[in-house]
Amino acid sequence: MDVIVIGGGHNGLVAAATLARKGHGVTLLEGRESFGGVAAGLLHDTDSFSPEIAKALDLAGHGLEFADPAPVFVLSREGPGLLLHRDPVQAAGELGADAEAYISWRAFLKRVLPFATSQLDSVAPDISTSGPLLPLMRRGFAFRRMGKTDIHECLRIGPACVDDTLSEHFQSPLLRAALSARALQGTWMGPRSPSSTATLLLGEAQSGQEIVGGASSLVTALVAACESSGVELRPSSRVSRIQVSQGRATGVTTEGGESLLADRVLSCIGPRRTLLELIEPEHLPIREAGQMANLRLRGTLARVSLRLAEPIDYACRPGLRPKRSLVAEHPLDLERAFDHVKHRRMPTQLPLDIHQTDGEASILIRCATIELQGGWSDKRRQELGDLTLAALEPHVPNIRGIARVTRILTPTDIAQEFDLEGGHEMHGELSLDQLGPMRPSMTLARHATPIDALYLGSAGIHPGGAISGRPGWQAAQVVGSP
Amino acid sequence: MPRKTALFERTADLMTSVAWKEWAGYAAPCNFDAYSEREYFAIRHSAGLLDLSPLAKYMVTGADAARYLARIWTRDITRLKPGRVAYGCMCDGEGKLLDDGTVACLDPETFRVTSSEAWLGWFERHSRGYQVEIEDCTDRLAALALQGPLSREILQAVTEVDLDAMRFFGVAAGSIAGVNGWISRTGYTGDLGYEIWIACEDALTVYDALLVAGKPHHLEPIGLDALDVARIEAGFVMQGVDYISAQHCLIEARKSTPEDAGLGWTVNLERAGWIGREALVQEQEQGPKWGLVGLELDWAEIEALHEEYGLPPHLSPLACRNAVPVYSEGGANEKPVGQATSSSWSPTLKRYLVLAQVHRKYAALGTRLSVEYTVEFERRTITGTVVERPFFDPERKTFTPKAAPKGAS
Repeated sequence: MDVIVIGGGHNGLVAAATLARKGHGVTLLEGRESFGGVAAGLLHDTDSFSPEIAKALDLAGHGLEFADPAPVFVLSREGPGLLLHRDPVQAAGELGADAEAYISWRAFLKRVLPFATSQLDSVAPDISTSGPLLPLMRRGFAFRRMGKTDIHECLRIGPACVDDTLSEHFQSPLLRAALSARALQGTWMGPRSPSSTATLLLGEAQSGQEIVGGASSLVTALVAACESSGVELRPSSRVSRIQVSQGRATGVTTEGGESLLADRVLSCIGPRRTLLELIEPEHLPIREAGQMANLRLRGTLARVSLRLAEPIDYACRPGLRPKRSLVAEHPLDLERAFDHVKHRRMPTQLPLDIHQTDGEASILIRCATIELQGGWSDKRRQELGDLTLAALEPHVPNIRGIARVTRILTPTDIAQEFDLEGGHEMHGELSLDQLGPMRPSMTLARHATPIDALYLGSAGIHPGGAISGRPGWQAAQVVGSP
Repeated sequence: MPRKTALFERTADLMTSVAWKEWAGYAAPCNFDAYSEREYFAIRHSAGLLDLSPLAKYMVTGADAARYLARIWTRDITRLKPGRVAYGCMCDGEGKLLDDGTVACLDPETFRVTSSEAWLGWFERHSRGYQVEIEDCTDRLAALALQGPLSREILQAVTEVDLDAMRFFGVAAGSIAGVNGWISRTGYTGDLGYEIWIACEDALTVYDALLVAGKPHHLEPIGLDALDVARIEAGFVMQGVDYISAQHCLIEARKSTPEDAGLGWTVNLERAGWIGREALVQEQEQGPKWGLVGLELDWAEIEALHEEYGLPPHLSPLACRNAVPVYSEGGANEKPVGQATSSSWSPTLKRYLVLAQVHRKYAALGTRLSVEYTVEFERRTITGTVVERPFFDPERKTFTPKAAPKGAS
């Protein structure tokens, strides 16, 4: 079988390698000059990439290594900050009064997350009235096995806001801010938004070890895995149309005018763009067209890159020089930043997610809305850089002396540079109605589309995730089955 | 509160009955006189002039206009030639009827769409991916219907458009009473007739000119009551009466497919890509459930029934729009098989006509059914026989004096 995979982000690479290893002829078309998408130079976190997929694709043979995740240092102006390890025993020394609560929180997660992870590792169930009952019952029994107390707790906290949930357990605002910040990635929420606990649990269910060398090592290994399994990798080949004939996808046309035929087409770019822009509207039923038109994907991500003359040394803990650090001293800082997002304004106080490597720092800002009033301009871009340095200054008084801003990516820049509709790194916000069997919609979550031989496999499809590889992997299983 | 059309001051002045009704948010005359009979006979013997402005009207323009309309309309608009009009309907994703109306091709990238109610939201929602502009021109465009055997002579007196050469369902631009507008040979009476499309500010000029030109021909301004009788004679269904738009139905069973409402002929299931097709292909596989039929009530039975009460048969000059049950032959104790949605005495045909939606099984020509009929508050039934629709279909409706030879468009 000949398969065309559209989009060479991490999910496209995973899907292409998986299909090629099954013996299919795979052509991977990427619009940009290089592969990897958001994994190649936008996002930092690699701890959600599935080790099972790495194993199945023999990524270790292509140089991929996993290691325990580096701790995150949460900066403080009033104390020594918090060096937060995921491992509760390692973290205990820093947590003081919260140490015991953190141990029991981690124990709770350890009990309940295997259920969530098992859901993420399988194709979403059909929850429509016409769907089969048995798969739902199986899931129901698996859920039931968590035990009454934990089930009750999951159902109680899932729809709650993450700030309430964490406040029940922890006193330290630094700890609560750090855990909230993680929960809010890819959402359009603040820590006080309802159901943000659900996205916290989702994030935790996907996280494990991280990749040595970061996301770029993952991309290198995936490209190597594709090459060794015979995938035809074609960068700079942007698809402009998916050819559909009598309700069946037959191939694609590239912007260069080239026409390629295939037995099946798997799109690992955003579902909305795939269905609303690459297909002539006659071929898509209005139900799915409506679902895609209503999909929410308002990007809030921006990035500022710094070149450092010397490593950043934080005033609250000199000499620590952590790889990853966070500027958010209280969940309220995140909530206020989100208030600005909601009102389409630039926040005055930026929470920062800092990733420091030799001589450089890459800073992600998750509260810059693409819908900024008046739009993004050169002036607003500059302002974003100034605000970033201003947010760092209390913690690093000499920051303006040692750091030079080399690049500022506004949400619109990200949308353009990484080919992301809405500038959204996950092709669809994480929210209860766009998750699980409803990601991106009830009828599209199982990778198949109303168009025969056309499948979806980006982060916009169940199970989503930042750099998890799971949507691409699962889509490849569906595409590869007869 | 109903709004006034551009012709309100004139129609209000001509009207002695003060009988207004609300039509799509506008005030529209029911009749101009105590009864609507004179207006009805004008339609069939001379000509009637109706203010059609409340009709929802849209201009659809752009490179993809035809392709787009072929998507939302049941007819293949990509094959509609400039100067032609197509009647058709619009379905939702489940193949249920939303509305019916006409699409006029003014030039390859300009179309005028009419419908009985407002659909801008629906039109815009499904325009994504098409290079197309949609304008709701209901408020800026007035429309007049000039209908009846003498309508050609009357209209020709005020326009340079060659009406003798205009075919049925043709449309042409031209000067009418000195103002620029469009004339289409379309209507809702099943008779020879024209519809005139002009800017609101010109509406009075044209209306007055037509009244003057029509005076020697006994042209009458007409209202909706006379039109209703004429459209039943012509066998035309009306949205909201003979079928309910799927968007207004509270229960699934009230929704109709084009087949159910007698509009199956506007549908081509072979053609792909229009909204509702997939569901209708399935319907066809299972066989449609309902059919729209024309029934003729047995006049002798009506007389005999009134006789039982010692009454002469009573005939209303108005059409009846209250749906009543239809049973299989034998009366109200038999199986209910559908509903009669519109009915009227036809003064021209001297027959009692009914439009009814009945189970497919009972839709064959000649089938005898029982239709509920109330006399003195007692519900009885009258035998109705399925007959050919349209009931009234004069040759003049489609005859073109200077018809181009076949094959030319």
